[in-house]
Amino acid sequence: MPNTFKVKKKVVYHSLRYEPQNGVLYLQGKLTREQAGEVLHWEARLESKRLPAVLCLDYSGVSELDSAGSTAVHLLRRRLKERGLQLEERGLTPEWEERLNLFSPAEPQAAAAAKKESLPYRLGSWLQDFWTKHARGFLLLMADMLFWGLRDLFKRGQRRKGEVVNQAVGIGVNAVPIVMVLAFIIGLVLALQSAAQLRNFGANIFIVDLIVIAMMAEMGPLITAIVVAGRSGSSIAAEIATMKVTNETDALQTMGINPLRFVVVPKIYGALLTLPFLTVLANVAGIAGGATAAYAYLDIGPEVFFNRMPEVLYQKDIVTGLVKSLAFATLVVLTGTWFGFQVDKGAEGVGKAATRSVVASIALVIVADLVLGLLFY
Amino acid sequence: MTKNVIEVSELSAAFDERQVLRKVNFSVPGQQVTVILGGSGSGKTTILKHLLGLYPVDEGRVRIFGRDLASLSEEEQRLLYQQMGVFYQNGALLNNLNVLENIALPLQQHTQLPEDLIAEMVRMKLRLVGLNDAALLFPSQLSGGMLKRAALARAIAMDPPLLFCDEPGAGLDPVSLARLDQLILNLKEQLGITVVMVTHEVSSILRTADHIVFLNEGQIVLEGSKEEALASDLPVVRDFFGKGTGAY
Repeated sequence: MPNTFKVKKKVVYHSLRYEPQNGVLYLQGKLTREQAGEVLHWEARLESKRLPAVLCLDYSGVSELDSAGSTAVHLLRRRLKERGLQLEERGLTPEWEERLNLFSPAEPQAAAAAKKESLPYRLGSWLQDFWTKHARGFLLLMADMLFWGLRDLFKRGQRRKGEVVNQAVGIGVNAVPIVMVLAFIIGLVLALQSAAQLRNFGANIFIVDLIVIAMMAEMGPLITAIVVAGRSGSSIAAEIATMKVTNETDALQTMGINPLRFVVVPKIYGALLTLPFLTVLANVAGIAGGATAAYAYLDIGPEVFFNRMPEVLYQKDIVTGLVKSLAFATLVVLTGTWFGFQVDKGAEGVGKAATRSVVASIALVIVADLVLGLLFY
Repeated sequence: MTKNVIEVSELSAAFDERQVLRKVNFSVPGQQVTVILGGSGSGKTTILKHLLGLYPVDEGRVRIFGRDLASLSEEEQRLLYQQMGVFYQNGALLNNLNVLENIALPLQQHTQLPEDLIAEMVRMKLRLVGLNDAALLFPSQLSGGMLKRAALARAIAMDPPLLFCDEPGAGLDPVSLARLDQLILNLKEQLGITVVMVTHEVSSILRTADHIVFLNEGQIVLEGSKEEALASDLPVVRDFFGKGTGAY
């Protein structure tokens, strides 16, 4: 049976003792961070109508006083005064007085009232922010990169010798294994899922059309771009953000070297140079995966598969895939660069820049895929 | 004579065959400011990290409040950490919390105090370090000097009897540094805390130091009062205080 009586629990305070008949609050013992909360607890439970007109605070029993205790005393004084009580104080040793002065409270600050704006206003200011902070800058960055990218094609300008090759290896060559493995798996799964459907209609042979077109025009470039966005987009953003945080970009600038030309142009070249090849490799691996599944589940041998392939593959699909890969390469490098240069002060900004760059570049890649897909349809 | 708060005996440390500390002996007297000083690479930071228990003591012994650091259990170490505040060179505030939350963190973690009292305490500590209006800013929005003061406010949040300062002067202008020193002196005098400071700002040393431990190439070349250090004939010490021959 639950206890229905509300028993008002008697609270035992260690650091204070109140004598209502005299109106004296004896503060005693350790007024430290272990117990200072009691003072405020007592104040909060104090009933207003039972208060004496004058309350006397007696400090004579205090044996220890730290910053928590001092703050609690100050807060207690302020709250009692707010209730309209007159305070009298006694027993304050010079030591405790000095301590209370040292830890005297800060002037209360008026909290800034949070303004609540209407929805259209917020939407509008968000759009304006988006345009001024991101979209416009990104377009300007694209224009800059187009200019320097084209100009430095014919003149080495400020690139370091061998830098393009370095970047090509970093962005493209080192990604070959992971891209091929992923493409193979996706080709395999794609074929597997379609196989069951096609078998229902006795249309087994069309698995070839499906895999080849899907891989060449769509999946190959997309998988490649997503992997590269995750691998290189983030590292580009982190690299540039770090350079910015440690003032390296400023140093380059003041040495008369354009950081965009010095750092980013080689990356763009490296990516543009390697992504088409990477995409071709992804296509090959994906089709191999599809062929494996076709052989295993639909009894379509490799010979049949590869004989049918040229019949369904049009130049247009191949070109679509390659154009996409070039567009994706540009997007990934530019997004990384953009978010790298957007970094806030401090090391934590670097991680954020990398994260944002990956998210944005994958999103942009998918949107660009839609646009290009519609253009070439 | 006040009791020694920290006693270090025969402490040695090496990183990859490179001997950084060679059998170092010194002590930190209570309720005084002890300055550990020496040129770059003399092992100051290594000593500090040993004192803070961030580097395990492999050779030698470090006793803080009479307890051997190496023999502490995890719980005892946690309690010891509540007795000490550390003021890191570059602030080391948590970046994703604002100044108020940063300073409230140890109080929230280690005490049962109600939130309003904690908030009031934090504001008081901020006033103490002269940082009234920065409570709601994030560390990345603070200037170097403000960052230092916020870091000091966090270091003294728990009223530690033992305060470590790692290069408090680095990156501060002379005026701010003088204010910071004065603040540390006030804390020492009014609360009787013990301060261990690693620095090589001569002006700061002259203002604050009671006890000086001078390191050179991993060895203590001098331990004593400020006056003893200033009167020393050792070339490294004389050079350090700008009274050398200017040989280099």
